[in-house]
Amino acid sequence: MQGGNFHSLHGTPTDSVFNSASKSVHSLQKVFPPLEGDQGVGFRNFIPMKKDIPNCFVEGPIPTDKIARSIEEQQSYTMIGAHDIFLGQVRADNLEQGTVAEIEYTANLTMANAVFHEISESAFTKFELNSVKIYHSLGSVKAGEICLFVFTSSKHRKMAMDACRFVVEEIKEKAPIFGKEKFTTGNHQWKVNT
Amino acid sequence: MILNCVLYGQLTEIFGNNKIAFEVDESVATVGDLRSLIYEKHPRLKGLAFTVAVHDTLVNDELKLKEGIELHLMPPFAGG
Repeated sequence: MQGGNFHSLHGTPTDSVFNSASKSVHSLQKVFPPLEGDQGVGFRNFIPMKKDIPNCFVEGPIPTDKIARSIEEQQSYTMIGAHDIFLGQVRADNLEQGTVAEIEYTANLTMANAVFHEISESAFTKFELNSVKIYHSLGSVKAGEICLFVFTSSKHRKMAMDACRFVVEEIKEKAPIFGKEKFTTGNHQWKVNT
Repeated sequence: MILNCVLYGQLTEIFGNNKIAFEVDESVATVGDLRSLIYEKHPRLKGLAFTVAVHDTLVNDELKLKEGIELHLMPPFAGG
């Protein structure tokens, strides 16, 4: 399953899987209500499961054709009037230890995906959006390559742009992702978001 | 009680592992107590802040520890 795609109102394959999963839980509970005095035998497994949360991580750099493909995918949804895109690129910082050659990303994966999900939910609440997509790299990304791709779509530009900024800032602050900056000299240091 | 911790980022480098277990007595009752103990026993961590998550949610230092809890110790975030 392709990850990173949240709750588009127009429904993409990922979303329909996501939505139909939660719908089926809902309808099952209606058909088989828990017995009285019983905390729902057979239902305790119906806590929303982690597998319902899409995986937003991509191994290595985010391929630029993935970005092009994401734009193409939205073109059939003609109620959309504006997209905004943020692309994070690994910068070859010149520091005392040398020049940054690559960043090796690691993450608390389940928590980071849950955080992405919460951020996207909250973006849908705050802004009038048709779709939010988030992709983040895992593993090694060389200077000049793309490590973060945020894509928001809306009827109008202001919502798309405000939402994109919101999502990026939230990711920087809240997603448990760690970056080891490796220098051309062989040294390294741990990146910290400011 | 034994506390199992999962480590991330720079903490994996400092401890040389991505997991560590701490055996603590009753004087270590909260996340804050564990934090103090870790800084005391591992001076290399001095100056490195870390947050703690349980079940994918950040917790504060007042959280009471109990046997079997899995703590995720995370240095400053660096996404994007």
